[in-house]
Amino acid sequence: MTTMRILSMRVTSLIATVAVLLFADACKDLIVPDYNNPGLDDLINNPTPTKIAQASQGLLVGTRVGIGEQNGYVSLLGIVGRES
Amino acid sequence: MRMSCAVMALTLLLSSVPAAAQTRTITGTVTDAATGQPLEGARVGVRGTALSVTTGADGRFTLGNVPQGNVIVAIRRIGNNFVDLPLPAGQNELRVALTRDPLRLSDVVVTGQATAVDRRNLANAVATVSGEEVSRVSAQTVEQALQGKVVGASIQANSGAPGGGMQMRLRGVTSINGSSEPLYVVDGVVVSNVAIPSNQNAVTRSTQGSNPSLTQDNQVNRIADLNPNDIENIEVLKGASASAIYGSRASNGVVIITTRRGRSGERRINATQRIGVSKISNTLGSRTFTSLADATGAFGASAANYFKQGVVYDHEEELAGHTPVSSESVVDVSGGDSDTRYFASGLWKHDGGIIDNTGYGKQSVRANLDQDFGKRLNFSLQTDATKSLAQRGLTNNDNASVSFWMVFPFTPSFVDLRRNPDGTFPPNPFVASNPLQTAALMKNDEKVLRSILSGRLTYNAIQRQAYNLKFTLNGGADQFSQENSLLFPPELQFEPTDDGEPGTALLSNSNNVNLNLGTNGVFTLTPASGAFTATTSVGVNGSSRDLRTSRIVSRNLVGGLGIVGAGTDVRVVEQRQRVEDFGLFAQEEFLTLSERLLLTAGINADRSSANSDTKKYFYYPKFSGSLRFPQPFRATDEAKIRVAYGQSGNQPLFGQKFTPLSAIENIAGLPGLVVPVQGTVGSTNLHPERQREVEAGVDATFGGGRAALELTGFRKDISDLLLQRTLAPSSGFGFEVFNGGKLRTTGAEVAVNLVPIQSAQTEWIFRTSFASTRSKITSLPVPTFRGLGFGTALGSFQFEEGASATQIVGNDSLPNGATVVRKIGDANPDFNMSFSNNLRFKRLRLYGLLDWQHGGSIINLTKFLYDLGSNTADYADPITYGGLQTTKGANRLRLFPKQTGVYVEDASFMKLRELTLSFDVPETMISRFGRGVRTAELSFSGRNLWTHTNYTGMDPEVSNFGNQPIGRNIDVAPFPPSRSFWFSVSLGY
Repeated sequence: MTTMRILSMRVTSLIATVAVLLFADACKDLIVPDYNNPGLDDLINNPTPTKIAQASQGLLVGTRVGIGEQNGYVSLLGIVGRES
Repeated sequence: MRMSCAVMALTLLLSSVPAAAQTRTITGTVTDAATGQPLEGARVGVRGTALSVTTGADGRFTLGNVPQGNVIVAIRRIGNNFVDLPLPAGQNELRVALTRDPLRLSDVVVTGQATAVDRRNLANAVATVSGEEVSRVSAQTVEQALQGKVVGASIQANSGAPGGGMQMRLRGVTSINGSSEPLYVVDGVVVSNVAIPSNQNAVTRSTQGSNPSLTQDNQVNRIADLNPNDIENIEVLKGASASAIYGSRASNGVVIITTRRGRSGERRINATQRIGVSKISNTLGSRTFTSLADATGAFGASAANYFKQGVVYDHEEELAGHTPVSSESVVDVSGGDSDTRYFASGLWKHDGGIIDNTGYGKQSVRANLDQDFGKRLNFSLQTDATKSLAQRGLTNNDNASVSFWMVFPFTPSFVDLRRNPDGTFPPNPFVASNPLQTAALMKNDEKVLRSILSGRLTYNAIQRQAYNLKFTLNGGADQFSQENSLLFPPELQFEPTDDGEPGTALLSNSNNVNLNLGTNGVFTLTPASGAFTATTSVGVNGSSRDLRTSRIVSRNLVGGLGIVGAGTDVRVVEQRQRVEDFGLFAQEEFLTLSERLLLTAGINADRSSANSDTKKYFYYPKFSGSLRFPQPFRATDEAKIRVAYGQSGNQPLFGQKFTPLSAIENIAGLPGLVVPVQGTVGSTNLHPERQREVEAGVDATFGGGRAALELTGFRKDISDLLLQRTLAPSSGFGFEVFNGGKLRTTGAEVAVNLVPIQSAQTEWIFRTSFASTRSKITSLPVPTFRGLGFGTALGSFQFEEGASATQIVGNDSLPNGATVVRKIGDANPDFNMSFSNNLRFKRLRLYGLLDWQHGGSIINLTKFLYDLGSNTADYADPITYGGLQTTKGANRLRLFPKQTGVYVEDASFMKLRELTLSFDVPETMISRFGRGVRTAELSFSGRNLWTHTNYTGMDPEVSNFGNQPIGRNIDVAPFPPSRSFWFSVSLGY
């Protein structure tokens, strides 16, 4: 078998291997997370004690944050008054 | 299952091919008809077979396996007309002389990811620009070199800032909120064209207004890094009907760039040295005050302290009046033998800026290598390393009165801002910022280090008379790092006052990696009868792109240091985005009726991490047909009718599919995860926008290739637009990005190319093109909404069903005095035309390119700012308006804000993009240039030498928000345009 023929066979094998690998890649799920923000899906699907603690802390924050902007001073007083 | 069907079909095709009959070997020489010189790189094939071979440096070729009987030998070469030559049974040697093809009608054009067809059979109007046309006049970026040369492409600068920042829009509007960038493919590898803001916003505070977007940072899209001198050829696929095979990233078209390669033969060296100067090409001017009363009327009582009768300072000239010397050195060396071919090039470019501390420098090195391993195997490698430094100054919108042309409107011409003899600058008494001082002391440097590495392995597995089978493996990596380093030292007049913290240093580091890997197989079948040629290609490819940017803002700089570590108030942010794609494609090209009819069908299936469902494939089919009519009428060489249909996509942007929580709130230091106020919920069905394009046209050539006409009409229907809808407050979220709505863009293109004179001594090539598009939002499932702009008082883009997608709305007055918001302009021009003349007489060559845009509107907010400062050049010009004696400036302000239209102007312009006069030095004088010199050329050239426009801003090519799908043509304090003149010497060794 000539060198060229061996080379050709190797190239064929290489291209075939890459093709197979790429097709195998087709089965891989292309999941990329949100690198820039904590996500709701992540909280629901992969909860950890820390995340849950922070989410519960967030409930307290959420009842207050922006309330003044959205609903005004009276609403804010109503919430704080109810909690006191 | 689907793929195994394809494999079976391929097997069947292979097994059905008849065994080869008796054969012979033919040899020959291909020469240039005009000079008699041998022509290298001509492709010689035998009609009705899949056989082909390329001529060597001596013009010779040897082709085996040729059938014994009478055959027709087809010879083609880029830049020459092709020839079909009958070769009788007994003759095995032939000599062929090819004539020149100045209109490039015989080119081969890439149509799939793996295949190409002859231009004469092409079913789409694919624009091709040769490397010679790209590098004729020194250009900072590739897009600048393409302006006016691609029919149907609108290529415009966002400002005159050095180092790039240009948008290429192919065949009009194709999206509202999606990506606006075409896909750039360099030597088979998709490269990055992201535009990363410098973060100058930390000082300009442009986002504090109504547009919280860093896109006002005058950023550069990174295709600017390519060296235009390395380019062999550029092909532009302008819509889905041509680009469908590139799938969900091809909606804005595809720009296929092929770089130069070595050819076998003796070593050749080309060296070009260019020296040039740049000069500002337009200024706004400002009001000249003729009396103290005028001065105090405009600038208050304090103006009396500075006003001197007859003393006028031209602040624009003082700032941007530099005429810096620029230089560009280009060297390339190429050569090789029959097995190994190489091309290497180097670029050293320095463009001086017209403003202090601005300019652009680029150094690049490229090495392209081709290696044959026997007749079947070929490996090609492309490497490109570039370093660039763009110094961009401080322009565009701001809310801190620091950007140069945000300060001038409020600075009278009688104030002296020039540097004092002791080196300090006088404070500006009217605005707390002296632009001359800012330019002298600040820096806004963008350094980029980029390497693009790509390789291709081609294996001709089977080469028979009737069929061949080729496999290709290609891959590439495009990596760059971008450092934006900005410094505003404490000595600047505005530094203590803007935020109470003297001195600001900004550092942004971005790292981008694009990876591509693909493989494909091409099977070409030409039965012995020669009835047809069927080319089947299938392929698979995967890619990823990852961009990570960290930004540091450091204020209150201690001890005069210019690094971010020297500040007492330091803030850091980081952003990362990553997208992974995977795609498959298959295409069948069927050429029959003596190569007169070409039918093509193809499909791309791809999926992406940017979609909500990352497992789901989206399919993009295409179909096209073209039919040639040789000599249909007298004096007509050939006519062709063509129809093409295709689909492509525009992926959701990174992050649009997520439901982000906010973690910036805390209680006693404990972070709380909350849904942000007006938070966005991720759609579970977010997918690419879909474009369906149908294109039809007629091409004809006349007079033996001396004239060519191309007529094209197209319609793009874009559905599943990425839109944002407001959710009910009870949902807990504010917005959702979803797919909906439809947009239609229609247009027409005409290209006429003529060679009125062609002789050994003289040649005149004339080209002209016309393109026009219109868009309409045909369905909008959300209420009418506004896009970029600064509200209805200052004009804004508005999207509403039934209206043009590029309409600009603003306040307008009804006859009864009421104010309404309605259309006051449209950014889309009526049409674009270009004219080029290439005239050669003996050794002299004159080339000129004129680019004309008619219509379109620009919101000239720079003028509005000058009016606010009572400082516009024409402010005090008297005018009678509605019986009222007033001045032009006062009248505009009187009408504002009830009539925004007073600041909306016509965007029409005509520009002389390129002008070159070159002289080919005769052989008798060449020896004076040194030993070993084969060719020498001297040339004078210029870019953007002349502009005619009625637009009163600096340049009708403007975009405060940078590259946008919709939202260009807003003029807010841009970097001024400049013209450049060059003298070049090119030597060939």
